[in-house]
Amino acid sequence: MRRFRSAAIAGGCLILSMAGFACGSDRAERVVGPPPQAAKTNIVGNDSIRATRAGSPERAIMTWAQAVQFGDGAAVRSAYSAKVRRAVTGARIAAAVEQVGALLGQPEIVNTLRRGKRAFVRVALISYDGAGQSTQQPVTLDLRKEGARWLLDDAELLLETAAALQRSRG
Amino acid sequence: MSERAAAWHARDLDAQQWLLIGSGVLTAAGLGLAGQAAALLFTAAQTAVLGGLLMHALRGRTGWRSAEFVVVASWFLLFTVPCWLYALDPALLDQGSSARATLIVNIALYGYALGLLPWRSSGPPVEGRLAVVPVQPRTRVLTAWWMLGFAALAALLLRHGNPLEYLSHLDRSAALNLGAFYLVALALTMRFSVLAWAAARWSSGERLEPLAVALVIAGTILIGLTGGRLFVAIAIADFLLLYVLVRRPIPLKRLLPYAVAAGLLIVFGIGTLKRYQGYNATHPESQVGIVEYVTDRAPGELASAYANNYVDTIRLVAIADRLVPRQAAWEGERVLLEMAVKPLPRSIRPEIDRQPVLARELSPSDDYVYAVPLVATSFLAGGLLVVMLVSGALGVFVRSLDRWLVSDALSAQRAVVFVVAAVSVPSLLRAGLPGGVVVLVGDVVGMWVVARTGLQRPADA
Repeated sequence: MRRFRSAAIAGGCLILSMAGFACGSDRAERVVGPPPQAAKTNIVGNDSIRATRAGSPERAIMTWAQAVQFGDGAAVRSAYSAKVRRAVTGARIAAAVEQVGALLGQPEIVNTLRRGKRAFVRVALISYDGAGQSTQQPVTLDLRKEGARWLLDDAELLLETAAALQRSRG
Repeated sequence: MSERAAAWHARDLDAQQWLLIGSGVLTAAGLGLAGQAAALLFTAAQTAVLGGLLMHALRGRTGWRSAEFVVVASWFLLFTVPCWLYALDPALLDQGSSARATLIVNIALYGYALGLLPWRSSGPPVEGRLAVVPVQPRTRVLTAWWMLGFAALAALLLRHGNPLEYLSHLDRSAALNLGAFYLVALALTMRFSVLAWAAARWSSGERLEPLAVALVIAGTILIGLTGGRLFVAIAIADFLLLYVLVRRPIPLKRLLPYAVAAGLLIVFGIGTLKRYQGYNATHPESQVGIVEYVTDRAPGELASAYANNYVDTIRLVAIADRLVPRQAAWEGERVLLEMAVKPLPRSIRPEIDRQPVLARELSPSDDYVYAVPLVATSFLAGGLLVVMLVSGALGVFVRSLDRWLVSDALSAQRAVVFVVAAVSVPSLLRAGLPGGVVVLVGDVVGMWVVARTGLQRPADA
């Protein structure tokens, strides 16, 4: 009987699934958020970027921070709005990236305030030292939407930090 | 059955069996893998089984006008779509393993198929409308039921003072309705009264009079004010299924674009409004406008909103899998106890204790409880065996509903009750035990009472 054959196939699939479920090793618990060791690093990983919504101001900030940390001056420059790119030369941004890159903390988004095509994102830049102790630098980043992309509309954080580091190194 | 029809029937059966075999192959392949690859294969397996069940539904006696079809369509929206979303973007799921959750859902689907497939189809296809015994409406009684529903809805909206306060916090509708089960149930008599009215007119081959049409539209809109999208979707589905069964069949192909548009409007339209209100409530300093929210924010959140908020069924199955039996014991008969006391008013209802870890995860706050799907409540009760048995029983129930719908000498009174029961099955899938059962039983009993009192056979008139 055809209908019993269908039921028999479904039964076979059921037994296979139940056996597979009972023997499966994919039970490894997913850790909510980054794993403890990853949380103790300053590096902005791809997971941190993916954790933000695509096309959002938060995603733009995480992508920018990773580019700064990895010394990718061109990517950093392209993360800024046309106004900033006009006002600050590529060479100056590249120099600042070189100074700041290794010291920029891991951004943690605190709050986002949107006003039309502008967004103000409060961020805590968290830096860990070798002993795992953290320091936080709270900043508010100003972003502007140009086309479909959110871009940083103020290079002050990068340039001021670079200048401060330059001063501290004499 | 003609020779040609028999040939099609045989071909469909073969295709259905090939889909089931394909599903088994995909499952076996998935078991050899882990993570996203496994989730993708298990989801593909689920889609194949669902395709087989869709074929089975379409070649049933009433084709797509059946409880079987309702279950397949709702399963796709409730389980298969979120499974695909999680399989394609694993970062969406913040709990447990999507591969394991998908496998549990697949086991439920196989169990359902086992309850459904062995039954013999008892007669030729019903091409036209169902031959139901016509009835006449008792207009005054039905209007009185509608007014009672309206009064209950008014009381529900006034419960929190200003009705506008209620309407501007639709994001908290579930919390606002908490403890008002009887008011919500009574408000639904608006829907039952006009359904009974429609059953009477359509069973006699007559059109619905303007007053009844006005009450249908007003009732559906008013019920929508409670913020329960499911109520609106169920009301529309009730009328549609009743119409195509007892008034005039409509080809599925013609109806599908309208159904998809209405579904998108209900799920994402009302859903976006609720999320917008929730956003402004949690970000009082930003107060974005609705246009900005809809154009700027909502599009990027669609997948996450669907899988983690509107239809968080798979997420809840994943939570259940994460918790039992490792962090909590199986719940066993607790769910039956909870169902037994559920109809009692909240003030006198005894509290059924729940293991703290489950209570914490499944009831995040005092006024917010997740609607845990049937698959997850079954799993929490006793694991895969219970999932299989409950799903199998559901398959038998759905098959029985379809058989009752085409039984000889079916009265319009019974037909409308069976239609309401068929359309309530998705509520059972979505809200599980006891919530879904309460909705299903409440719908069936409410519809039966209203049909019994508001309809009469012509000889009694």
